[in-house]
Amino acid sequence: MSARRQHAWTLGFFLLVSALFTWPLVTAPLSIHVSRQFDLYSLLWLVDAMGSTDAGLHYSQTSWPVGESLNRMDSFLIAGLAWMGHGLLSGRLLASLLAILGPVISAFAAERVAATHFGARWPYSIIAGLSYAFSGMAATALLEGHVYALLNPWLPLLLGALLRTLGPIGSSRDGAWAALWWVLCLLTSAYTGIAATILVLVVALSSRFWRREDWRPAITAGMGMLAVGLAYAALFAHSGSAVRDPTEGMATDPLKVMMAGSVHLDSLASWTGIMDLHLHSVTGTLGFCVLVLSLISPLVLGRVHGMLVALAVTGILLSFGPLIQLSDGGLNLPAPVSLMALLGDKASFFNFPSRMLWIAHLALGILAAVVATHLAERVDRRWCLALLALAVVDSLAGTGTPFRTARVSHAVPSVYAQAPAGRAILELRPEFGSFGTDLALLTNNLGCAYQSAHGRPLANQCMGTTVGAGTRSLGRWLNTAVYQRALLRDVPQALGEMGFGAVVVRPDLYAEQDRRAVIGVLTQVLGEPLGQSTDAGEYLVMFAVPEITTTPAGRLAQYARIKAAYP
Amino acid sequence: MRFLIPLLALLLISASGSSSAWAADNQIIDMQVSLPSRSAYVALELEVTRLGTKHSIRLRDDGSVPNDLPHDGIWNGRLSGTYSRLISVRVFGHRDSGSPELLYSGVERTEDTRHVLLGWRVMRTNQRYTAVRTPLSYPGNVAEMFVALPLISGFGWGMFILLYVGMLVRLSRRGGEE
Repeated sequence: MSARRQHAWTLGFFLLVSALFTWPLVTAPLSIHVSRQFDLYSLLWLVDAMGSTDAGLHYSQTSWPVGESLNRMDSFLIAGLAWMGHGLLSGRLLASLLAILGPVISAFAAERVAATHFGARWPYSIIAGLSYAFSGMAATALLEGHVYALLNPWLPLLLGALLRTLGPIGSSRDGAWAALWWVLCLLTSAYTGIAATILVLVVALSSRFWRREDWRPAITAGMGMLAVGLAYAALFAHSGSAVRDPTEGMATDPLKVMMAGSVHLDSLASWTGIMDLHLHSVTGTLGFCVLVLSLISPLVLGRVHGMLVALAVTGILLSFGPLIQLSDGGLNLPAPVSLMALLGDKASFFNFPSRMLWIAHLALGILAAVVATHLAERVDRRWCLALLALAVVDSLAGTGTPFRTARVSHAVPSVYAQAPAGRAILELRPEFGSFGTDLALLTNNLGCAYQSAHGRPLANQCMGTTVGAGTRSLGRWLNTAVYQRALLRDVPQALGEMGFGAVVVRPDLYAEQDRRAVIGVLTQVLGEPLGQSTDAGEYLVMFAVPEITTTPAGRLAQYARIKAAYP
Repeated sequence: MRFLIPLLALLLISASGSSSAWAADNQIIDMQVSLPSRSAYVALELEVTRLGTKHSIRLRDDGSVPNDLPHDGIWNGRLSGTYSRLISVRVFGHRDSGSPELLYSGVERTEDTRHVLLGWRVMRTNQRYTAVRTPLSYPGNVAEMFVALPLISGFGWGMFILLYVGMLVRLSRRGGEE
């Protein structure tokens, strides 16, 4: 079979697996998404925000009236695509394309690297693609909603380019390619950038490149990575405390927060229902086919493949986070990441150690493909082809994606269309407490995603892993006013001065007596509701705020007063 | 490349026709509560607020609700209607006599447009009863709320692969000797 035909078969095969992996997304890619958590809503907002005319590193239409810095967006690559598209590419379309086609491209890159640099033969090289792009971490990205992580051919390409760069005939050009792939990893997401950096360190140490006479290829790669890395870090640090808003838990015990984003020993084997309900869908499934083939590799290959084993072990160890736990508790052996406790509060920058598992998925997949190739040379080919089928079952049943994916509507409640044009919307939510942080973030992010349809400025801060401090302050102020009559008189005036034109309430989220109180008090001070809707899956009640002519400085002064009083 | 065309065509066709692909009026929410065999309650009731409307659902364990196995300790109830992303739920237990006791209250995510499965387990702590949310195994319709079912199946699958690859290694060695 010609190489071109082999590539076509490989791509078609991965496309078919991807359709099953993301099922039922392929049946309605513009009207539904399949994520179970809420990160996707921020992505939809970001894509549409970057496509707007005033897009940049500061966006004025959310976190109203101060706006919010976008310096710490997770994926500069996707934001760049959206910015260049200038609204031609909707958030929904881009998210669905990333979810369905991203794994296909990533898997193809891993398959090619396994074949080109490690001697895996087709069709066994396909195992590398399945292990990398249809893995536990891929399921996590799909179900959590950060689907941009699924389009990551850069990590396998980086591995291939590094091997050339640090090999005996490496050139400066190879070094430049390695730097480019590393930069694209970093721009895909900060965590992918960290994983890529760890991959670079492990490969560099394994290759012992310092024994070479010509250091130019390594210096070219290193300087390229260093320059972009420093610029990225400077941009990240520049956004300052205005964006970073650590919760009390992050400040007092960052390692405890980190455990929620870590992999447990049981999750390396398979998924459980607990993951979706309490563990943010973090799935570490390695795949038994890949694991068993890798474990017997010394027996089949006659040697230990040091670099791939080092990559796999490093990735798995780091993904455990501070403690190696059997299952969300139990065992509790200290892991290398526990040393990050020395960083104190700053350790909360590394809240999702699980994402280091991408390195292990790649390394184990390549090793398994090489072992399968060796076995196929000595055993009847038909027996070995079954390994491909086993790897597909691992990708689908092991991660559980076809059963765990949801079918969530993209529809937007109709009540938003009635909000006064050009004035901001304040979404009022109850205090969720420490048990309801996910629910608070879900409703906050949903509001952000709706903005692309209604186009009004919004009080919600849409970037970050917690509800923004300003958004929380405004909510606390208004919720407090419900039970403190003395505050009530100021509400319409203060809202109007800050430029708000409407308050939207989700009554179902409140306890019964509070529900009546909130609606009653808002009716008393703002008048009968402007509108309400029960379409698109939400019961929303909207109140109009009287228009008050104000200056930007006046808006900010009123906002600052409330933020200081209700921190 | 020829076989890629039908796959891409499927993607495009589904994208163009997807606006009407979800039905807004037939979401089914199945609710299951596991009750200890010697508990004091003779009946369980759910109070669900969905899209601003309150619903009272009497749970059953007599086989009269779809997918319910009679007298297995899993009490079932079903609510269907217009699509809702979030519902607020209160679980009440009824004794032989006396007023209902509140066992749980909270807001639940019901974002799947077709079918949502929610589960609770009633537990006895300090001589009192309380209910906690618990994940259910998929697919549903099992007699037990067996959370670790996929994990246990996974280990069985892993054992099968170990045996299969072990057989391949043995065959490869035999081939080498010949």
